Amino acid sequence: MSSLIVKNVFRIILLILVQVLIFKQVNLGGPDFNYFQIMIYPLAILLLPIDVPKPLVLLIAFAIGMIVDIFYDSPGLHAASLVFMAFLRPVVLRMLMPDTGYVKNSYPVASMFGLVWYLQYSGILLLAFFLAYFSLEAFTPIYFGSILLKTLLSFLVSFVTIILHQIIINPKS
Amino acid sequence: MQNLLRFIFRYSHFFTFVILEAICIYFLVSYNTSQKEIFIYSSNLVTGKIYNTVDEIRDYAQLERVNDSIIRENARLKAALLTLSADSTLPDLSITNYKVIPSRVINNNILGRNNMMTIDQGSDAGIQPSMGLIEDGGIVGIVKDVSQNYATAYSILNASLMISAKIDRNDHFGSLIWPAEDIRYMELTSVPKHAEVRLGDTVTTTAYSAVFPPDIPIGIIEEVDLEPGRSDFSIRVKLFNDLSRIDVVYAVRAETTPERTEIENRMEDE
Repeated sequence: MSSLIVKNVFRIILLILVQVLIFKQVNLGGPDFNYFQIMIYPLAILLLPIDVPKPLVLLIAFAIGMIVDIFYDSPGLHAASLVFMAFLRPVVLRMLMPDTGYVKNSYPVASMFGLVWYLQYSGILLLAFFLAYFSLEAFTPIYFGSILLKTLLSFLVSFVTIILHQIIINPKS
Repeated sequence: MQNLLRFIFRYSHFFTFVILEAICIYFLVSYNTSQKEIFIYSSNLVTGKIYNTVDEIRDYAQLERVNDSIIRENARLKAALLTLSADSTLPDLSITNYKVIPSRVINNNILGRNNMMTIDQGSDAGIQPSMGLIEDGGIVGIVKDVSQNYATAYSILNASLMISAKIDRNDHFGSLIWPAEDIRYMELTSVPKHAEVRLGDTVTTTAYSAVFPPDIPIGIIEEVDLEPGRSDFSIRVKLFNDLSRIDVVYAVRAETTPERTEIENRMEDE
C-alpha cells in the first residue's frame, strides 16, 4: 500500500517536471501556428488507482494544477481544467465499467483492461481537459472556432504521447 | 443535523469539485489586476531559481548568437556616439536622461493569448513596475511585478496590451495591439483614414507614453486594410525582432517619469 503511494507521488513529481521543463518549450506548429500544446501531466490523474476516494482525486488534481500554473504564469487555469477532468473521471469509469464491475485494487491501465478500454478512457478525459483548458484560457465564447481547433489539435498530439507512454512503459499499476 | 451531514457526505465529490473550481476561477479572474499574487507568479524565488538553473544550461547553446547580437549593438552604439560628437555644435535638446538596466530573459511564454516573461533582475538592480523592455532592434515588453531579484513582465505578445506607436515618416500615431495570431506580426489601429500609409514604412514608439523612449523602431508595415465604413486603417506590422528568441533585454525608464506620471494622473482626476 505505502509503496503504491510512493510510486504515485514519484510519478506525479516526474510528470510535472517533464511537463514544465520539456513539453512547455515544444512548439510543433511553428511561429505562426500556435495550436499544438502537448500536455502530458493529466496522466498523473488518469493513472491513479480506481479505489482512491473521489474527493481526494479532486484535491490531488488541484494541487498538481496549481504547481503547473506557477510555472506557466497562469494562476488557476491548469488547476481548473485538471479539477474538471478529475471530476469527470468517476463518471467515465462508471460508463466504461466491465460487466463484472471493478475488483478491488485495480488500476486504470491497458495491461489490466486492454488497450481499447484505455484508449476510450484516456481519450474522453483528455478531450474534456483540453476543452476546459482552452475555453477558460480565452474566457469568452467569441473565439469558439479557435478554441475548438486548438482543443482538437492539442488533444491529438497529447493523446498520441500518452498512448505511446502506455505502450512503451506499459505500467502494471 | 444528522441528515444534513449525511447529505453533505454523500455528495462530497460534487461539493469538493464546486469549491475547488470556485478557487480556481477566482485566481483566473484576478489574474490581470491584482499584485497580491506576486508570490504565485514566477518572480517567486523558488521557481525563479529553477528557471535560472535551466537557463544557465541553455545559455551555453546560445552563446554564439548572443555574442553576435552584442557585437552588432556595440557597433551601432559606437556609430551613434561618433555622430553625436560630430554634431556637438547643436544645443543639447535631450532633456530626459534614461536609466538603462541590462537583464536577461529567463522565462518567456509565446504560446498563449496573454503572454508573460520573467527577467533575472529585480528591485535590487533598480527595476520598477511599468518600465519598458527593449532589445537591440525592437521592443519586448513592459514590467509588471518586481521582487528583489526577479521581475515579471507583459510580453508585447499580450492581447490585453495597447502600445502607443507611430509611423515614422509622417508621425501619424495609433495603438499597437497583438491580435493573438502570429508572433511575428502586430496590428497598428486607430490611424486615421486621411493619413498617408505606405507599405514598407517603419513604425516606431511615440513620446506620448512614458513606458518606452520615443523613436525606437518596432517593425515595418506589410499590409494596409481599410474596411468600408471604418474611419481608421488596420495596419499589419512585421516586427523587427523575433520574440521567440530573446535573451538580453534592456529595461529603460526616463528619469522624469514619476513627475510626469503624477501630473498626468492629476489631469485624469479632475
